[in-house]
Amino acid sequence: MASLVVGLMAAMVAGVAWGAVYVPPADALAALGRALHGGGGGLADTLIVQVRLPRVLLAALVGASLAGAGTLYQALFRNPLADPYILGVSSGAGLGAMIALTATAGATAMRFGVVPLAAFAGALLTMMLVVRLASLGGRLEATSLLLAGVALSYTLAAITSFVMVFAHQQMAAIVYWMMGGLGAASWEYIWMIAPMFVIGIIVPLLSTRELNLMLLGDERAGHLGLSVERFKLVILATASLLTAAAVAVSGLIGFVGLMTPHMVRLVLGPDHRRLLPASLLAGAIVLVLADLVARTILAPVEIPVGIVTAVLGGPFFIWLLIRGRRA
Amino acid sequence: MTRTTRTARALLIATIFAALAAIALTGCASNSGSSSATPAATSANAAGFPVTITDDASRSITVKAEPKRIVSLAPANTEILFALGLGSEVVGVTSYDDYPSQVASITKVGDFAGPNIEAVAAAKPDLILATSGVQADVVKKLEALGATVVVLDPQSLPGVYADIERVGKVTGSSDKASTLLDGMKADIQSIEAAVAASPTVSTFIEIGQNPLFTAGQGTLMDELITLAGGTNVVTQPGYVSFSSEQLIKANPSVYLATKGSSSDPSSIERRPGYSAISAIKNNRVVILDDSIVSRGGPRIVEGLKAIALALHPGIQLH
Repeated sequence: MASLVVGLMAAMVAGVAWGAVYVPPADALAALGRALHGGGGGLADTLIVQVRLPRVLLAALVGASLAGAGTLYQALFRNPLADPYILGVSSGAGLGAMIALTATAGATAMRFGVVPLAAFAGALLTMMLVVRLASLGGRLEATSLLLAGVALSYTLAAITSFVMVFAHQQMAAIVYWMMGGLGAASWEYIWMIAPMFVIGIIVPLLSTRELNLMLLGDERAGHLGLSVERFKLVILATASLLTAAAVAVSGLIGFVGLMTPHMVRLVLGPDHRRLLPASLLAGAIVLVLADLVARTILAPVEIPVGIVTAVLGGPFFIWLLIRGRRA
Repeated sequence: MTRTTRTARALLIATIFAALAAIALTGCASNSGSSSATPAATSANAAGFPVTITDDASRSITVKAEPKRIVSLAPANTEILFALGLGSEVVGVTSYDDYPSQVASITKVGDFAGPNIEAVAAAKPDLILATSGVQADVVKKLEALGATVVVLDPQSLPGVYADIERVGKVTGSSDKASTLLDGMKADIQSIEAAVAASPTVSTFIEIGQNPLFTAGQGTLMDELITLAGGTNVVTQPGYVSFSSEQLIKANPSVYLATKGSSSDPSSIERRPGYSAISAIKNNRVVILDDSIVSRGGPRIVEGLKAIALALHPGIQLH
């Protein structure tokens, strides 16, 4: 755990230190110093304080949110394939964003704030609808939740594509948004999702024992004194809040939410008292580093961060799997 | 899952058969049409038919007789046809076409990225003007069904000239095409002359905002910037996603953005770090209509004019 904290610090320092434009370390430090005193306006100040720092912090927050949400969904459904996307949350966010992009076509000044908020609203509405559908029969079963999520996800994605055919003026903006990325990072975004992130992680971090009980199955968890249905709803809500926070500011970034918890589980085992905080830290590290690669490897040309997470993450995950089998 | 795949495949096969049948019927119809129009063919021969040209996909295409029914699969192609006075012969366009206003009443044969082969066939075209890239597959399919397809995809101003000339040739309107080209070249020369005295202006052009997307060296937009008396701060070739850090460092004097990038000046000014860019400081953000700066048609002259005025607000143009 301590090594993960050190790792995150190192990743963030690297993220601030490197970029498309070379800023000497001494200048970068001086710029940070000036920023603390509220001054500075040179190139180094602008790049470090206004561009890189918010981007690195946002990458850390988004990575932690996605990995945290993935861990929670996987615990809840005892299903290794559960992730922030399979429940339709991402499709809901996508549809919300698309509606906002189309609606604000003539008033682009509003777009900056409206699109993330609409994505968030779409994500939450979808989650509520999925839970409602899944609990029609009475109990909230993991299987019916997944089925309702997948079904709704396809429906929403189809509606998104359908509207896109007619809103082709906005198509580029929508497609870019869906590709995911942290290029739009700003301090405004950080202030916007920080509260969502804090609320979204406090509840699960205080319930790691209950999360462990869930691994035993609904029935045994119930016998051991957990009010399973209510706990599921609480965790679903917080996990969706985390997902929505991430999707709202960075679009659809794949892989991190699904794979990071698995990587951590392979190394640390399934105990949520270690797994959950470690996943948050690992998710932050993964996305900070992936974004650093995305914006520097072909600089000043940037590549979508989702490509980096998948290209680097996939083989790393396979290596972990093979190593796990041998041990 | 397998069931869905199977249904989808069945649908696909059915669609292909339907398309084949439709094209076969069209083929018959146009054959019978040409035999009855044999007397007219002599007058067409006066205009030089059959003509053979090499299109932008480097293919040699022969057009046997003067086309009467033309389908255009790109807005730029449509604009060329209308500028040559062939608007009444255009029987199909894409849903992206919006200029001139008469296109609103022309049958839509699908969108730019995916023209519907059946709809194209139903329009019974004797000439199809397509583009490359996204339409490469469509072109192959249409040709496999016996249609005459000319691919137009100009990447430069001389390329636009050449395409207008090509369209003139294959439609028997070469005279009109050369008049149009003379006018365009004269306008462009007068714009070049107007900016010649002014010092060049460092410029950035935004096509998409997140990720920040721009036109680099060798693109039509880059050429327009250069002709308008500017230097593109992007030195990478082609259309690329660009680092905002590098943009802030490059510090362009003018910031151009196309409308399609879904931007407006106030949202550009608010982006982190942009306040340090000289174009933002001096209020020189200009939003351009993408249909005039990205379409390789006659209105590219208007695009050049708009960029020249953005870079050199003081110049006199008529």
